[in-house]
Parts: sequence; C-alpha cells; structure tokens
Amino acid sequence: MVQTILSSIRKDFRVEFRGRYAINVSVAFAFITTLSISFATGGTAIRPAIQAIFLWVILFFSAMNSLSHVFTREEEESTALFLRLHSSAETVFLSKLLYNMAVFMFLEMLIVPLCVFFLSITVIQPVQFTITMLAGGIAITSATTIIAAIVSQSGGRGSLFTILSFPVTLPVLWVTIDATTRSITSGLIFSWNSVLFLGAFSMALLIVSYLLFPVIWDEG
Amino acid sequence: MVYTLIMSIFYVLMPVSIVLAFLWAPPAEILGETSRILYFHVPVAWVAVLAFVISGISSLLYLWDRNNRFFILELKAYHAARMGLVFCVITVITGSMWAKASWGSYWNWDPRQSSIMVLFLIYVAYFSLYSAMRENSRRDVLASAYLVFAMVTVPFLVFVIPRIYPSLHPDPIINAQRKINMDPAMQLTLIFSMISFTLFFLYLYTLQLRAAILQRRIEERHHEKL
Amino acid sequence: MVKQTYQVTADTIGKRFGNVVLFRNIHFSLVTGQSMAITGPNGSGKSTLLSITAKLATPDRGKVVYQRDQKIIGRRELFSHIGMVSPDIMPYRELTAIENIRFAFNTFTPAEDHVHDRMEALGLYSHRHKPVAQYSTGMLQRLKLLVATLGTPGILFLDEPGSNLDTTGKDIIYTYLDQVRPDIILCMATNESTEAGLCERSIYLGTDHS
Repeated sequence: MVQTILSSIRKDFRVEFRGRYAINVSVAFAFITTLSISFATGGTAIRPAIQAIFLWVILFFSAMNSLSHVFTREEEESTALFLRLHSSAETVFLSKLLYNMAVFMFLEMLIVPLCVFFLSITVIQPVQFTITMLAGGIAITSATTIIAAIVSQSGGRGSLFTILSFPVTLPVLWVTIDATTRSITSGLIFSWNSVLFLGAFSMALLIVSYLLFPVIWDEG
Repeated sequence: MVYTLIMSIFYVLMPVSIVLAFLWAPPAEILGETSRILYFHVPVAWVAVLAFVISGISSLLYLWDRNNRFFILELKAYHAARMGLVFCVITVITGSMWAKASWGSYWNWDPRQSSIMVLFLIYVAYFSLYSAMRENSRRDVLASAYLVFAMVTVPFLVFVIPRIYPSLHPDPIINAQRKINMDPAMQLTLIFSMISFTLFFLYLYTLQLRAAILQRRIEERHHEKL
Repeated sequence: MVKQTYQVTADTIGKRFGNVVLFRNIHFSLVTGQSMAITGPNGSGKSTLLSITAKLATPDRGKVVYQRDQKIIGRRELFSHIGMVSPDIMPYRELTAIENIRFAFNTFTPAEDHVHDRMEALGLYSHRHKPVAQYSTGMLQRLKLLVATLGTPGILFLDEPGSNLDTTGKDIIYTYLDQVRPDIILCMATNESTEAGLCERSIYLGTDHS
C-alpha cells in the first residue's frame, strides 16, 4: 500500500514537473498579487491583522490553481481511466492528498518570504507562526482535495472549484488569519487552541473524504 | 392523506400566527414595534436550517443506499436544498432589515450572520455544481457527496466563529446559561409562528416532490415509448 | 499457468443520454474462449456498451456480473483481471513507455525479459525511454495494447484496436489475438469487418427501437 502510494505520488510529480503548467501559473499568480499589493500600499505601514489577511488570501487563491489540477489533468488528458484501471480508489485519494499537501507547502515556502520581503511582515513568534502555516496548509488541502475530485468528475472548470471550496475552507481561513495575526503582532498572546481546532478539522474532513472518495471516483 | 392534513392545518394556523404577531403580542421593551419581525425572521431561519438538515440526510442516505431501497432520495435532497436556499435568502433579508433598525447597519459579521452566510454559500456552491452537470449521469451522486462533505464543516463554524467574534444577537430561545427571558405572550406567538412556518415548508416541500415525481413518471413513459 | 475460467454476463442492459435511447435490453453471456464483436454505425453506443461491460460506466438499466471459476468477482478485484484498449484510455504523455508500465504494474511486476520481448515484438523497444508525447499515433496504439495485455488478463476489451495502425501493426495484433484467444474472453467494438470476423459472435447496435 505504502509503496503504491509512493509510486503514485512520484508519478504525479514527474508528470507535473515535466509539464510544469499548474505550478508555473500558481507561482506567477503569487508574484503578481504580492507585488501588486505591495505596490498599491506603496510603503504605508500595514497593520499585522491586514498583513495576515493578505498572506492567506494570496496563498488561498494561488493554491486554488494547483490543487484542482491534480484531478482535472487526469480528465483532460484522458488518463483518468488508465489510473482507475491500475490503482485502487484509496491509493488515488491518498497520493493526490499528499501531493497536494506538498504543493501547498512549496507555495508557502515561496509566498511567505515574498510577503515578508514585500509586505514587511515581522514574525514575532517564529515557532507559532510556522506551526500555524503548516496546520493551515494541511487543513486547506484536506478540505479541498475531495472537492477537486468532484469538480473533475463533473466536467467543471477551475472557477467551479473555487466556488465549491470557499464555504468549506472559510472556517480554516478565519482561524489561521487570527492565529497568524497573533504570531506577527508584538504583545499578543498566541492560542494553541487554534492549532488544535485546525488539527481536529483536518482529521474530521480527512475521514469523511476517505469514506466518500470511492463513491465519487468509482463509476459503475 | 398526510399532504391534505398538513395543508389544512397550515391554512388555519398561518393566519392565526400573523394576527398574533401583529395584534396580540406586545412589542419588546427596547426594540419596540420592530421586534415583531422576530415572529417571521426566527421561524424562517429555523426552516432554512431544517431544510439543510433534510437535504443533508437525504444525500447521505442516497449515497449509502446503493440498492435503491428508498424512493427518490436524490429528488428529496435536491428539492430540500432548493427550498432551503429560498428560506436562507429570506432569513438574510429579514435579518438585515432588523439589524439596520436596531444595530444601525445591515451587515455586522455577527456570528449568526456569518453562519447563515456560510450556509447560503454552501447552497450556492451546490447549485453551481448541480447546474454544471446538466448532461452528467453522475450528477446526483456528485452533488450529494458535496453536500454531505460541506455539512461536516458546519458544526466547526458554529463552534468557532462565536469565539472569534462577539455576538450582538438576542438569544431568547437557544440559551445555555439563562432561562427563557421572554414575555409569555411573545413566547406563545413565536411557538405558533414556528409551527406555522414548519408546516408551510412541509406543505411546499411535499407539493414540489409530488410535482417532481409526476415529471419523472412522464419522462419514463416517454422513454418507454421510444 | 493454471487456466482459469471466466464468465461475464450482461443482463437487460440499457443506456440513454438525455432523451436519446442508445440501446436497451442487451443480453449476452461469454465464457473463456469465446469472443464477441460489437458493431454498428458511429454514435450507436459501441464504446459505451464496451465501457459498461468493463464496469467503467454505469448503465441506466440492468447489470453486468463477472465470475471466475463460478465465484463472483467484486468490482474492486475486477480491474486486475481485465485489459482494455480504448481511445478514452491514455497513458501519461509526460512519462516514457517504461515509466508508464512501471506505474501501471507497480503491485505485481511482470518479468523484465517478458516486458522486453513484448516491446520488441510490438516494435517499441528502441523507443522505450521516449516520453509518450513524442510517439506517433500508431506507436501510441501499440503501447496501449502492450499495457493492456502485459498482465495477461483473463478478459480483454478492445475498442477499435486497429485504428491508426499500419498493416504490420494490425498483423501483430491479429496474430497475438489468435494466440491468446482460447484462454481469454475477447470483447471488441469495431467497424472493420476483418476485426469483427475475428470474433465468433457479434452484436449489432442499429437504429431499430423495437
């Protein structure tokens, strides 16, 4: 099982790396939005709360490009049936989930320094900040991977993915923005409850996704 | 028949509730006459949630019931969601009218407002998905799966938002700490109104389901002819 | 290798798209050693019927049941017993032939020599490290055949197997099919009479709505 999942993830990375379409769009999007916000605010000091909002909004919308691609690509390239014939639904779900998490982490590693550089975010509590970023990333990918599967099966496009993902990721955004604000403002107390919340949220959604996925993926 | 029964009780109760709400119940102390919207706003919000729960449970059963032992679950889910969306919109409209009158602005991101907004967004997403799949034979499965998945996130919202944003909402009905702090006449009116609106929902819902079943039968007859 | 007997039974299969009925009341039963061709004009639902039989699509009516040595094969296991070639099933364009095969058979790896022999036979060996995107349509078709047959499946589905193939390519397939036919169930959707002639039976999906 572990071996097949790993081989499946390796396949997804290879396919993405050789085409590099989705990730390029995400990276370009991240650059453009960060720069335009930095340009628009033009050196005026932004409150930490607003910085946190910008950071997560940029992350969310950059990620939306890549996260759905992992499934829609299979439909567009007609490889979905190939995948269905040669892997079990569980393998497909877990490998796509882990792939998406890796992609999200990659985007975070890119966007956080960008925001620190251009929006002059000062990280006051680095440990709390890092853990919030990780927990938030895991929560968003847990919430959206199955939606990507639904959208690809429905024949819908990227905008539909954003519409479907938004209400489901709203609780995550609310909590992570609050927690991020606390970790980049001096004098505010960080609450570990928010990390606990994100963990519980991810767990619940992962369990439901894992149970629902075969129903969505397997036809017939 | 259940349908006729619901219909006749509804036709008696609804006028009674309207009369009670406007003529019999006293105005609330600080809020004044604007408080009468309570007898419409709260029941409508309750119906929106009820419809959401019905569509969620029908969807779950539909996915679970692979041998089709239950009848028309996918239609039940779809029509409950459709009614839910309508009631959700009415809730937001009546709520923001009241908010403007008593808090001074239409929208305050009050926890209750946020949760009804998320409910609204889930419905909107559900119908976007549904309409994107007009020709897709897997429409019911995928739309139901989405609704079930989205339903899981709702308790988290209800749990988390009040911790981040303080509420302005009066909390006369569901209240953990205090007891019901309402005038008995207001209370009775509200209960009447809740029952009337629930019946109103059931009346419309069964009517729609009957129409949907008829439509399906016509389609099937048509296919048999081909 | 121990020979296994498979049986596939299709019972009152019906499918429609919107208001158009593609086909209805399709019955057939095939056991190992038997073969069937699905023929009919374009748009008559040949591919759809083939997909439904392979359990890759859901019929509106009826069901398909698979048995191996009298025991019913569940949906989950089924895919390790079937091989399928279809225009709707594409290997990954970005991967090479070898990478595609490794991915497809990661649970049980066919012997290296066997893979090489089969690649050689289909004229793909020298292209094994090229990304599939650079393949010609004929080479792609051969690769699909290779992937479908490499696991020696008990049931083989072919949707227009000869499309995009030159005479050598077709000859390779036809010889291969003659060779394995006694041990498999063969189900083919085709419009070519030579291919349909390879099967003992055929279903015609016509325009009659009786």
